[in-house]
Amino acid sequence: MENQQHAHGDLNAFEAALAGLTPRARLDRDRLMFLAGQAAAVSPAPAPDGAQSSGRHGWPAAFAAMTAIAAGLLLALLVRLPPGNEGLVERPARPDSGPAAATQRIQTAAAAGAAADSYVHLRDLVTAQGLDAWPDSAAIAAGGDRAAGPLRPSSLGALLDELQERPEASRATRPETFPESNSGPGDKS
Amino acid sequence: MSGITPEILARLLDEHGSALLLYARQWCDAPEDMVQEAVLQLVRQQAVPENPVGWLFQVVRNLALNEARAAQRRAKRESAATGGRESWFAATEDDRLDAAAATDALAGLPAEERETIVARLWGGLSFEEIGRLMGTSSSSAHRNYHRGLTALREKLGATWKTSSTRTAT
Repeated sequence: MENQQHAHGDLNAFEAALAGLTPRARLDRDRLMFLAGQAAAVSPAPAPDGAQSSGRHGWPAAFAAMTAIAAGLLLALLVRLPPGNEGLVERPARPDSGPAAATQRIQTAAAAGAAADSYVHLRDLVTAQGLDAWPDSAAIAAGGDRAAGPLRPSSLGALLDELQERPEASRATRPETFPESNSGPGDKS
Repeated sequence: MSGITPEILARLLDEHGSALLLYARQWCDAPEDMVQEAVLQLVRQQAVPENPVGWLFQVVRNLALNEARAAQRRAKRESAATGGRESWFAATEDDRLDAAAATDALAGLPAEERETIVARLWGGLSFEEIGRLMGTSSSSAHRNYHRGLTALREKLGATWKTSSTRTAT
């Protein structure tokens, strides 16, 4: 018992002596204080609680809102346009549409000699019924000179070919505004 | 300035600077850099930690352990050990304990016991704080402290007996 107390007291004395040793301090306190001040100046200042929380949660909230909006738009798009129904719209037929009405309009326009309108109606007719609906040349010629326009040559080369094949026709249509070249000024007929 | 004021920082350095150095010196050869980095990290904190001293010890411990691992990889630690260890303590007029012998004895202790003794004797931390620092319970820290102190007493027995005998006479 006495030995234990002696050992315990000896250990306490040893502990006190050990604590009396001073750690070697090579810490440059002034330099460290300077560096601390520098670091404090560089580091961002503490913001108030409200601003700090808004800055911390602002971007995640914006991201979540944008994601929700994008998901909603995608869902709305999928619901409104089910696959397979894109672009199929049924409309009642107009009474003035169809091949018969178009033919009627062509004939009316040809009889009136309206070339501009005949083109539009001819286009409608050919679009609706195909090339079989193209009227014959006699019917077009009967509509007058303006309605016979599509039968004329469509290019300059075709026009030259046509003139070479029919030289007499072109000579007959040439205007005679100048005198004969072999007749001199003194000639008197 | 951030959360910590210059007055508090100066007082922390005056009261715990040398203990922090000794604490970091257990693991690395450049404890000044570890303490400096820990202090700068404390200054950069937005709010002052609840226990600045314990916080500093924790940060110094992490930094010093990382540095020790890096030094082991570089294999410089081994060469420094063979070249002789620098004394961890300053020479004092009290000759009851030799500083170099105490350094060797302390360095030869198991890591847990050595860390506990340094944190308790020179850091002034409680056993509860030491347990939190090392990730153990306060009773484990208490046991490590007494076991290490007894081992130190036995290692330094010859010197200590002579001194105590001289003191008693």
